[in-house]
Amino acid sequence: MAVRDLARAFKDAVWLGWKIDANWTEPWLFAIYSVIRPIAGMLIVIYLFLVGSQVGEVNDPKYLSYVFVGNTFFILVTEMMLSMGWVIHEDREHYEVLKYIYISPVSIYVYLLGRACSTALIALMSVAISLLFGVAVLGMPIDLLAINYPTLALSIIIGLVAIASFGLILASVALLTARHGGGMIGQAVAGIFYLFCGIIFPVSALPSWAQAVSKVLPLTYWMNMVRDSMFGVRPAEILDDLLVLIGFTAVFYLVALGVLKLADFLARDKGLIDITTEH
Amino acid sequence: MNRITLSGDLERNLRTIMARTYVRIVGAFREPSWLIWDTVLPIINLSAYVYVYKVMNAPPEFTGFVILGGAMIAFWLNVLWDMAAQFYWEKETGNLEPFLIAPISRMAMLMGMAIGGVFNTTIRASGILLAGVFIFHVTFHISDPVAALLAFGLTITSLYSLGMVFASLFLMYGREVWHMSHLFQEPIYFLSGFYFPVKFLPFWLQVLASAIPVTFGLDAIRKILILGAGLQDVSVNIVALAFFSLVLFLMARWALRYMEDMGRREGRLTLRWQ
Repeated sequence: MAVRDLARAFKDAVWLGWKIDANWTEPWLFAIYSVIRPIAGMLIVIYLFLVGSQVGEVNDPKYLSYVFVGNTFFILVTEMMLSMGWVIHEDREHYEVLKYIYISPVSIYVYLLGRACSTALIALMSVAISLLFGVAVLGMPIDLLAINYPTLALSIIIGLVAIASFGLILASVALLTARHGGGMIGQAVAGIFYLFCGIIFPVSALPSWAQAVSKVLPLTYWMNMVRDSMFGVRPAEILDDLLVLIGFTAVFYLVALGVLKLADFLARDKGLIDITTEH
Repeated sequence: MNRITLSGDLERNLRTIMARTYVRIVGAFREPSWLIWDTVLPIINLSAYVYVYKVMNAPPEFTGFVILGGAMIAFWLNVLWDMAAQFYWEKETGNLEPFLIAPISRMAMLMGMAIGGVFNTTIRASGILLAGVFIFHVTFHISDPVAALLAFGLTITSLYSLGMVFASLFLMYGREVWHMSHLFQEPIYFLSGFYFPVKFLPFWLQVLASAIPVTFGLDAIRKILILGAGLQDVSVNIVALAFFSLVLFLMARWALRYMEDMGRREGRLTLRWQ
């Protein structure tokens, strides 16, 4: 397939994803819906901090910033995991178009990446609005002028590739499993990263075996980079995290491609491309 | 031709409940992968909140609050997605028409889904509670089992009645209500105090939270199982839950009739992909 065809398939998949996510209502209502959930999620962790500081022995504003930044950027992971864990079920059993995608001259891989990209764009808007809301309305201790924007942008781009790799693995699993449970898989896998990658508490609080797990997950390094960029750390100081993030992202991306290829073969072999599962 | 009698109606609807319950339970076990997604993995997400409390040296009962909240989230998600949104799926897959043609009560059908859903979700919630006991050493008090069962039973009744009200919306609408269900996740977790007692919220938010039945249910179950309270200590919660159960059950009955009628008039009952 020519590069131009691939680019067109990717662009169409992004556009389709945007339409499916957004065209059910007016744009203003969609915008409100897109930020209410992330803001509520943010309020949960802020209140965990506030309650914890009232009943516990720790009341450190730096920890509040830590929690706020981690949780806000984690919106990208949650939304992409949810979307990629669900897209196969939705196309296969809801819209019943997966079989048509398969027989069209579009690669399922390019199609899934396009859908991931669409979700990422919407999630990025949610992150930006949540950050502004947190700083302007809730008074979170973040200095917007001190942020190192170039390293932040770089970390987001590499991070999105890593997250999309995990998303492809989820979509591969969905190709082989039934719809019930499908809604949960994305949320559940996002939970793994939430626990192990130092999102709302330092990795050092975990037991040693769990710290070992966190060291092989690219999102641990991604979150370090994002947090350092948000607090204005110089690029030279995040070089180690950047190199490890790039290395792990490359590995997981290749693994994701292999898993998708295998799941694709098995799904065709077992006749699962157009199954419907009821309960 | 069979005569329509009260006992015949009752028997038919009871059979409907059993049949729908059967489908839900057997259907779920035909594809056991959900046991992993629904039972093992949610505890990982909850553990992150437990660690926040641990990092802040919060008292151990707060770990119990998170675990209990996680178990109750399983029921809330079941109400939202496997109960309310089920009519959406039935509509999309073409099952809704035969359901509506059959001489059965819509509530009987939904009740079957609810019983099957409660069965499946209880397995998930039990997994979360057991993980809380064995991994985080949470201690649950069962000093007043009657109070615990009453609070849990009324919470479930009010939640699934609310689910029936939501289900009625899917007879008329499609993706709009689907997205509304999404909206009822994190905001409800926050408002209803799934991870911390609502007394820590500002007063006006507590007032708002009191309109949600699970707030009272969770508060009562938490007081009984974690703080060792008895029936008298949660009497206000019990009365509120009984009130919610009755009102929501009646509201569901009315809403199902009203929305079905509206769906018929506007030709939306069989409208797919809306």
